[in-house]
Amino acid sequence: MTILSLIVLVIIFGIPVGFALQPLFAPKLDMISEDQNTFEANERKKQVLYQQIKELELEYGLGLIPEDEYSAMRQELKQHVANIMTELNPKK
Amino acid sequence: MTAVVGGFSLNLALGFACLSCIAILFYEKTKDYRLFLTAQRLALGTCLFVVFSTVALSVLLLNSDFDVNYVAHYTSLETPNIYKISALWAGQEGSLLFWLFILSLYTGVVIIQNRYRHQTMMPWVILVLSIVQGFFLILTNFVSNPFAPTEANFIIANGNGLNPLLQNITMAIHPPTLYLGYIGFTIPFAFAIAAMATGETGSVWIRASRRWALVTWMFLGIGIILGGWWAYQELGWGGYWAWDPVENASFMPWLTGTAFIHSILIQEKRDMLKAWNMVLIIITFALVIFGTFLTRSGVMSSVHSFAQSSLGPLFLGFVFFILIASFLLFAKRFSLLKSDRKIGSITSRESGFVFNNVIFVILCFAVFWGTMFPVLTEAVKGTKITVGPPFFIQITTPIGLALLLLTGIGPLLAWRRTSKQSFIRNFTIPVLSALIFGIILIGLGLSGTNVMTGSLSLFVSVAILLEFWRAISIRRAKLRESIFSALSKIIIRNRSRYGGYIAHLGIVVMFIGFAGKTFDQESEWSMNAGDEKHLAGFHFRMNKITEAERPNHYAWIADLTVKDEAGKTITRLKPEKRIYFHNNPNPDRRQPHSELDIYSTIKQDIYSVFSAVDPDTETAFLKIMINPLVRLVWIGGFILVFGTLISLWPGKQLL
Amino acid sequence: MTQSKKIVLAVTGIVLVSLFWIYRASTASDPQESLMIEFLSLEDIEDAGLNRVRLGGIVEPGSIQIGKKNLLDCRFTLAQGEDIVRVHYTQTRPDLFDDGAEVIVTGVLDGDIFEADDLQTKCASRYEGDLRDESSYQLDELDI
Repeated sequence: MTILSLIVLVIIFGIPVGFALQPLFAPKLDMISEDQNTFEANERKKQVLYQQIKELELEYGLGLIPEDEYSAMRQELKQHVANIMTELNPKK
Repeated sequence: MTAVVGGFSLNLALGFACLSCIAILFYEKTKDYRLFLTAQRLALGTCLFVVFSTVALSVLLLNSDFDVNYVAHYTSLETPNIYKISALWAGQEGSLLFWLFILSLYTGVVIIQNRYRHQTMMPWVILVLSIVQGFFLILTNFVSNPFAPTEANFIIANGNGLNPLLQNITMAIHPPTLYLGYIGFTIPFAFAIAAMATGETGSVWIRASRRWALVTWMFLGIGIILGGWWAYQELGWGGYWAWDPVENASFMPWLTGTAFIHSILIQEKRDMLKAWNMVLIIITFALVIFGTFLTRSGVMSSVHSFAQSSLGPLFLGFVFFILIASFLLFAKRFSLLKSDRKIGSITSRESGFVFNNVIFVILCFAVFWGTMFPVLTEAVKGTKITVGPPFFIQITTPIGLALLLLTGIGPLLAWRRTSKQSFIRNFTIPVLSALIFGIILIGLGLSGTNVMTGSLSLFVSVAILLEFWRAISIRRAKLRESIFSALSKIIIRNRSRYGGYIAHLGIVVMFIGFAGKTFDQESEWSMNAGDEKHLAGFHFRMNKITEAERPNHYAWIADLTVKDEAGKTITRLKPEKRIYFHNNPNPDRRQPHSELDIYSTIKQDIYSVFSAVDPDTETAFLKIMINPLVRLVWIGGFILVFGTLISLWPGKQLL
Repeated sequence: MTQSKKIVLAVTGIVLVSLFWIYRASTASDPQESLMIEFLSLEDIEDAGLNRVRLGGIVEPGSIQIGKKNLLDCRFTLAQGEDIVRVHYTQTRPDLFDDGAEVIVTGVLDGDIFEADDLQTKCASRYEGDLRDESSYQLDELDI
């Protein structure tokens, strides 16, 4: 094994070791901003709810959901969407 | 040097996996975010070093470095490069490293995908994945090391080479697809454990791992079908499934995995079956490790299994560890897994899913019982028995038919309760069609399970097609679209549902293909040029037997003309008897191989095997099989995968 | 009866019927009707009687005899340690069937000959043999 290959190996293996242990030598860190997380999470929840409303309407059209349950579930989902839109709006 | 680098990478990977686990445990105690970041990076480092190791072994294989024991045993100078690569998973040590490699790729993707998401669950996800990686790293570092040097007191000029039977593209990709499936179940399992550990037992973990579960399930299905296809095309026994223990080992997690991917829909939509989903994924993952144990322990006599090795007890120990730890956590969190909602009616879609789940688990148990019965009998009575296809066919056929029935009933049931009017509207046409078709089949002379399969297949097909038709009609009534436009729109807007229905149609087609097995016919003949034989209404005429010397083998070719009852020529079949390495001075190194020729149509396959040749008398010994409907098995498999891909097709990023 | 109880009852019924079905398939007093095949070791081959049994072992090198007129007619010696039995098989043989191959045969013992109706060899993924050194291999003959 030549000196050069040894150096290359030390670099190849050393970099991941250094990268992995680096946070331990950093000053105390906070978790990634809740705002960013919450905004994206709410966007995703909104899309999930839209998809659920679409499926609900399809299943009602196919006669797979009784009328009373359809109305109740639709209302519930729309309320969830409204809540999320309220949370999202301050960002826009 | 490459071997040293590969081995060292494995050592480092093990160290990193252990440190990652320790960092996570300290993080959970202190909530110091730096520890979580360190654990995350250590886990990624584990993945990276495993990749280094795998690349190192691949380089050694491609360079034919016979100083490494594994390379010497599974490749030779003559092995084509593509099969040098596939030798990576041909043997025990390499396949364990490959297991780790796939797991590491998955782990890396999961960590990067979720680096800012599910911050309470991810530490536990990383912990579980690191533990599983750690187990396989212990095996590859200390028990079954792929970089072990060759022990020989001479210079190795050439390796053993890969058996010609494995030098086939299907056989090259069958294990990787199986592994992609098998190993992928680790991800939903990790999320399930994380959900229980953190108390977040709602639908978040389901949404985070649903796609993983579906992709995994799809790959496992592809792997199983490819294995069957290879066996049918290459091995010459005319079958595609032998109920061998190692085959069953891959089938069992597929069954519970199928139950899982259906059952999580209920949790997502109705917040029900939470405990059941946990149990399903725990059992599925345990079956994955158990299947790996079956293959490698030597405890079962199987035509597939590796040699008896010391790995068996280690794998069995790991299975018990998984089960005990998981179910202890399950018991602790059981109160959080109870649902407030109850199933409203026995005629509801929810109860349909429950019955579906129960039957899948029973089917899995039946296969498990048949697979393990010989071991249990030997342990209890001391007598050794084997359980073959007749047992499995007898017990799985009625259960399979029950599943087929539910495949048709399920989509027709309403949520919460199916009203009488719904029953009549949804069930009349499918049931009547099935009954009429059943009567026709009986009139044609069929009976028993064939009539049941035919009737149920039509029932399911009509039920699914009616679902499509109703949805198309709704769109057309509202939006005045053409049929094709409405069809494409409903599929695009509801990929999960309609992709699932297409996958169900694939299963129906496969069932019809399976039923064809009861009509298989075969015969074995000796034939000289000019001879004619008959089987199942076909006439086989031997035109000539020719010989050919090719670069890596010598071949005798039987030239057959096949005619139907009316005398019309259907095809020419040219099965071959080959000798690979025919020029090798050592006769033990010459490898005979029967290259089949198959004429395949939807109605039947005409399957020819050149069993043996007497060059002196120019006599060919042939086996001819007529296998009805086999092609439907492959077509059905293709439809199944196609439907699954539609379900998986990315839409708006939901999670 | 509540709907939940109906479901529990139905599930219990399905499970019990299925378990009974599996149990019935697993146990049959008449060996001819049994779906299980006894896997005997060669030293216990005499216990086979007229029952269809399964044997495993190695094809003794040099023991394979192929019929002169019927090349499918094959006789070989199956060995398991010190114990051996002569096997007669008349169907297409798997490609991997050869001296030293690990095989599983199923059939009936007829006198001293085991008449096999099924013959399987181990999967090719375990393809191991002797490594070759320079003196035992003619590299010039290879088309590499």
